[in-house]
Amino acid sequence: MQKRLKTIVTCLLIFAGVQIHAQITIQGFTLTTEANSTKYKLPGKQFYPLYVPSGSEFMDDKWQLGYVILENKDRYDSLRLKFNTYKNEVICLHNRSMSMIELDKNVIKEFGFYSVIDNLMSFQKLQRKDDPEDSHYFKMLYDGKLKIVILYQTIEKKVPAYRDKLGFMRNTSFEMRTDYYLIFPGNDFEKFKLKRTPFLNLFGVKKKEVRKVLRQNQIRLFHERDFIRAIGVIEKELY
Amino acid sequence: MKQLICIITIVTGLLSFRAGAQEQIHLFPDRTFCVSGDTVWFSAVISGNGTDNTNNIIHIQLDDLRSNHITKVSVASDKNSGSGYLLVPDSLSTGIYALKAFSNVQKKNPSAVFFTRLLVVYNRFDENISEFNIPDIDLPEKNSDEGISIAATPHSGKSKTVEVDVNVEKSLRSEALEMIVTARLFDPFADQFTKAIESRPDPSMQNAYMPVRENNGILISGRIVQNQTETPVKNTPVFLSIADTLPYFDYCVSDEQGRFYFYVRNAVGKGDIVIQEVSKQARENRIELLGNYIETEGISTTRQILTLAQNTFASDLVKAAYFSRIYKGYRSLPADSFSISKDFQYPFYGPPTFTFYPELFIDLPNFQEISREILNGVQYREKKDEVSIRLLNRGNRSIFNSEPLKLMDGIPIFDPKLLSKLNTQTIEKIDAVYFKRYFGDISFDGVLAVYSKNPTLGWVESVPELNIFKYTFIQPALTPTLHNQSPQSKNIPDFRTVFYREHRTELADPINFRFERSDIKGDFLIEVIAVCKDKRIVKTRKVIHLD
Repeated sequence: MQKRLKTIVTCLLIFAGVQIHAQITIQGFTLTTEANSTKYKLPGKQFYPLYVPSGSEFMDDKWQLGYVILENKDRYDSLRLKFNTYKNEVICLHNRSMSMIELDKNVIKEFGFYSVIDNLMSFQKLQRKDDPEDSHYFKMLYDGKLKIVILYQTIEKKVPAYRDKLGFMRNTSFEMRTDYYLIFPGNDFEKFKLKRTPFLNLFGVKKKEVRKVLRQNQIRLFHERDFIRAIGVIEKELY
Repeated sequence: MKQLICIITIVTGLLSFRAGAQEQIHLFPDRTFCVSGDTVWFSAVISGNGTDNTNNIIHIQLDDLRSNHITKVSVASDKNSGSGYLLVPDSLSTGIYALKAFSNVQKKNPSAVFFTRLLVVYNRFDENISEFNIPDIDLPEKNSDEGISIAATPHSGKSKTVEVDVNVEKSLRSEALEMIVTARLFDPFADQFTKAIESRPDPSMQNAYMPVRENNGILISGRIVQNQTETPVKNTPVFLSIADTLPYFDYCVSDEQGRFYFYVRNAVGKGDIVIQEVSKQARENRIELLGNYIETEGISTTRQILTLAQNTFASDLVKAAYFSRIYKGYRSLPADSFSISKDFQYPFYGPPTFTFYPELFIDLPNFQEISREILNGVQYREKKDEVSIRLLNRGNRSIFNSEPLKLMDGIPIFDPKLLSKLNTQTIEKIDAVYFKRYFGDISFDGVLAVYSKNPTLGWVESVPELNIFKYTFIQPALTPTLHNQSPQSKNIPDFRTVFYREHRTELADPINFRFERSDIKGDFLIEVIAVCKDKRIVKTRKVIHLD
């Protein structure tokens, strides 16, 4: 009888303990002073990956080391990040609980990956003039009065029917699209392709002057780096 | 040998450079004396930090000469220069007190230097002030520095107007960044103590806690101890919350000595903060806040009897303060306002999945009815006096197994019964987050934030785990309205002791001004302080003796 009573009391005590701690869940690790920081804590929500039979919802499926800068200029380094190009969100791996967190976009100003060749790949949150409510992360190629950015977007595309690895019939595939934008002063976004004529057309009445500047500086527009160089020169000469 | 000398010279040079690069704060109060209950205005300049402006909070404390703390304010400086005011407590005894300025990072530096300014306080109820404990240190009369000359011409006859011309040498004019000009009553006793006293931190202070470079933010620190044994409670999570339209929230885990800290940015004024320990033993422990003061060694004193002139001046000043209150009443400065500017669009729990406005619905008597009728996605259960709340998890389309984070006017609450009696008339809105939320290293199984129509924190006192404190953050920026103003009515006597105070950053124009003396008889003093680009302080003062 006493044994039973003890068991019941123990169970009740455990239950009471669980009750009080239920609101704050700390998964699989002990919360220590390591959690302390004077920075604004990284906020986000649990990320649930999609089942993607073909392609990927991320820019890169592997976790990459990177940094995040918040709107209040607080900076977090050495985070394990993935860029979800389907939702245009940054996913962070919480090292101690191994949970995947979709970081709140309203808090983040910039994030980036440290690549192996020390070439920083940085993404900035930008809002288009025509849609200030909707912000996206753009890869920054050139950041001055004029900006060249890339928007990586993964879309679910209709494809001929196929059987996925689980044996189910599917007719969609996740494919990543790369859109280049030139941002003029005044937050004016213009989409362009890496081709000479469409690029020159973006400058409207200044087209002739741009052409002249490019000729004078012997810039031929073939690769991404040529366009970045061209914008640097155009900005210096004409803006 | 030569090489050795070279190395020693370089090392010495580097060391002296390091010492020279130490941050120092110079404090310039507008007076050297006051009557208890007065407001002392001050300017403060940070020097020795080069172009680093990342530490812009200056703390100014008023101590007695034994280094017992009396009051303190914190001001935000702009380009290393700040100003503010300090309310001298009404009940403060007659004596000499010390004004000390410091920044939080200086607390970690055992070789930091603080410049103490002395302030003579006459208690407004003291009828006969005849002696003082004065600092037992050599305080020579401050000689005027070169580069500034002052010419003052009092108008003849009954006029109390004084014309002042300040001549600043060209070389100094080009070097000076800003100038502080003051004209005030001369106190034959207090003006012996105008020189700043250099003091060093007390050795017991070297174990400084969290030396953060405060940039438009204030570090709140405190500790948790067991009520009975006074033993520090370590490794326990502590929550800080500030009720607001966008509630502020932060957490910290107490260290080995039971200490915790929170760095709150952009909070101005005096506001209520709620701190709670999140553990089963919370009721057995006590939370106390640690005062953010600098500890320096006390100043030894010796007794001095006032001369007749000094005694007369003190008596006149106390009488003037008495009559000033009769004629003008007591004007306290707004000290209880509070605001905290937001860096982000949403609260710490992110964008709500739904926001419900119960007043748009029919009247419902309690939270159970509200959850049933209005809050879809909220499961509220009452069983044998036990209440449980569960939220929908939209992430994996299920119901969370544990309680969500419940907030009442932005304050986390653990007892769901606190919500039970709320009805549609008392609730302004309810934010619900149907996702597992993370905030740094902690997570919540959904969030249910209830905002009442009259958000007072009276209910907090009924919850033993919640500790409410009135905390003074950055002082709101105010301009001294009493300076540079002559009395509005000629029928009301004028008892000002500071006649003119100006902070100039535009130094190209010649400095000439006029001011009106008050009805308090006595000599007056004009002081010009120039802060140079190299943070050198050039100071000149002139006492005008009147017949």
